[in-house]
Amino acid sequence: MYRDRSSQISIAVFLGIVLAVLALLAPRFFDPANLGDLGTSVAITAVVGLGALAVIATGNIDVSAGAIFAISGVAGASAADAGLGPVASLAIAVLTGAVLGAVNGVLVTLLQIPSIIATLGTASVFSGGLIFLTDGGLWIVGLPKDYTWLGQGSVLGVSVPILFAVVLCVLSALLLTQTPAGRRIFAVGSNAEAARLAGINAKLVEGATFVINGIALGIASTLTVARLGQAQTNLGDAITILAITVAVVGGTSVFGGTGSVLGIVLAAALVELTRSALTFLHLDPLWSESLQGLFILAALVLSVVQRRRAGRRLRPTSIFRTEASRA
Amino acid sequence: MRKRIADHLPTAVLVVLLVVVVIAMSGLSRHFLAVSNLLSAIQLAAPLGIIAIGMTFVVLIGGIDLSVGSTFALSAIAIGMLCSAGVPLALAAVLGLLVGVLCGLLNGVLVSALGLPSIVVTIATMAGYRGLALAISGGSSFPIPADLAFLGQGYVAGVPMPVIILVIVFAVAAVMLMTTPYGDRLYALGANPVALRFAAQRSRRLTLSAYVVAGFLSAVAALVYGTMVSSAKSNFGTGYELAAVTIVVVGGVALTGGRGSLWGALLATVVIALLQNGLSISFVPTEIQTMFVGGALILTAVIYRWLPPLLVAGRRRDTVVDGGRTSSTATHPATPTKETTQ
Repeated sequence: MYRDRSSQISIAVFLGIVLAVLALLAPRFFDPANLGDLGTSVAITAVVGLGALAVIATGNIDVSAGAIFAISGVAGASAADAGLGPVASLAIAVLTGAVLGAVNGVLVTLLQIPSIIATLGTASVFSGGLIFLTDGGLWIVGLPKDYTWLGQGSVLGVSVPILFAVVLCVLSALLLTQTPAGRRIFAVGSNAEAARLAGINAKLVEGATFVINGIALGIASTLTVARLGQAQTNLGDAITILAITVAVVGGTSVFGGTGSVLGIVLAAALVELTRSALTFLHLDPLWSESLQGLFILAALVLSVVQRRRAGRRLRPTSIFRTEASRA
Repeated sequence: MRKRIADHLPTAVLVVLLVVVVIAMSGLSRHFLAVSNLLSAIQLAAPLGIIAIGMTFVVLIGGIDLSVGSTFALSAIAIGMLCSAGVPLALAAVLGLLVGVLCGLLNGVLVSALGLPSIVVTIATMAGYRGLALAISGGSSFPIPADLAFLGQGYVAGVPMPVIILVIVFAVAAVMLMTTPYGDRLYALGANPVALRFAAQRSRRLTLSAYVVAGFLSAVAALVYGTMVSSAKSNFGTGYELAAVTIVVVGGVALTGGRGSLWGALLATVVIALLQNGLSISFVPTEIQTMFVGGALILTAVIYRWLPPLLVAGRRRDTVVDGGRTSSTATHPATPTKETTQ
């Protein structure tokens, strides 16, 4: 794992510039209500990013994230709608996410299908299955108050999703930096063969990251559904790209074995802040998707510049294991 | 010997799949086997098939291009907007194709000059190109004049134009890949880029060319599709990148590069087109069709990964032990895994 903070510094600088522009041109942006709303969005996006961090750090990718997000969100909402308590509903969403993540994990590790193919296939099967099981789509409204509290409530003035995100980020940071499990994730990501020779069960680690991703998606989808107060089957449409954007912009691993929770939080802030800033600066929000792409490219180019400066051999990519081992 | 099995396996699997699909679908609907229905099924799948041919170039060199669906949309929007602005139709079509080439060029430069992983680069440009198409069009759709409609809706000798264009694109691409030194180099780049560098070939330029081909063919597909539906909208081709990857993988082109054929991609296009058509005319809901395609992807990926080692293990047992062909007992494939062979 590299202690390279420059990508985080660049994101922070860019965030500062956007905030300064907003302060000059749209002071209403700093209205407490808006900031609270923005913070909640950042929190949920960061939770999605944490899951992607785990998967991408081991050199895999999950393009079924959107489908898992939608299914677990709908599962949780259905449970709440059926009268289950918020904790039980959250648990059902998390369990759903974990099981679907485990399916991906089994395909990638036991059946040895490249993660892009496996998750591409499961994305179709999962999202098709959701529509099929809900008879062509579902729109759950009027969710109970105690469930929507998970997304709308606050404790001591801090919204519940932010509290969730803070706890999860602290736990993830501890897991990644302070425990052997975290070291193993990065070890498998930087060099799977070396990790295996060092006695690490690389397959178990890779499989586990897919389950972790499913759990993160289950939590994030519950927070989203509770915040909106409704669940729709098209819930996860933009999530796959969002997850990858946040993870890559946050500095996770395209060169293998890197990534940090701080990077994820900053990247989540960047994505959500620019989306919101477009509206406040009276720019066409239609540009936000282009900007997302631009951010990823900027982050990638930056990572190349950094590595050249550091004199490291360029060794893309860890997402396609074979390309990585070949260079 | 293992190489041989691995090379012929996709064709065999696809032919079996094709037969299964045709039998199953003609059982589901008696209209399925009508020539007009089969032609219209392939006509509808032609734009995706053209994109998949471009994707094959990229996958053969060991990359992936997830921006093809967005390039498709951006080219279509360019053609639609230029036509609406009064630009001569032929020029608008050519400029639309140029947009595709430029999109591919940007991908290629980022991948080859900066050495970035193609999957992340093209995820970024997927968002970028799609967002650009959305932003410049303002989300509205543009009509594509009837004078161009021949490309998407015309018939020559009873065959729809899109099918003819698909066949032409396939033929040109197949000649390029199978008979020219350029094709050999693409395969070599995918199979072993280091060896290619030692052979003093310009691998960067080759890499670039594959992405340009993918971008160009996405634009060709956009021209065909836009004239087929007489309009252009920024949400065109959503999910086409994944559909194209599905076709390429089902077609037996290895994502690790260097292995696979255009025949596989074409056969897979036909199999998936007939599968979806058969299910559609039997009133099977779209979500079930999606599940079938996803299932087919996983199934073929498993077959391609595990059948060759099993067959090899079976043969080895034959020669060594002189026993019967009991490949079913070969529960532990003896061949090395991907990581160690590379």
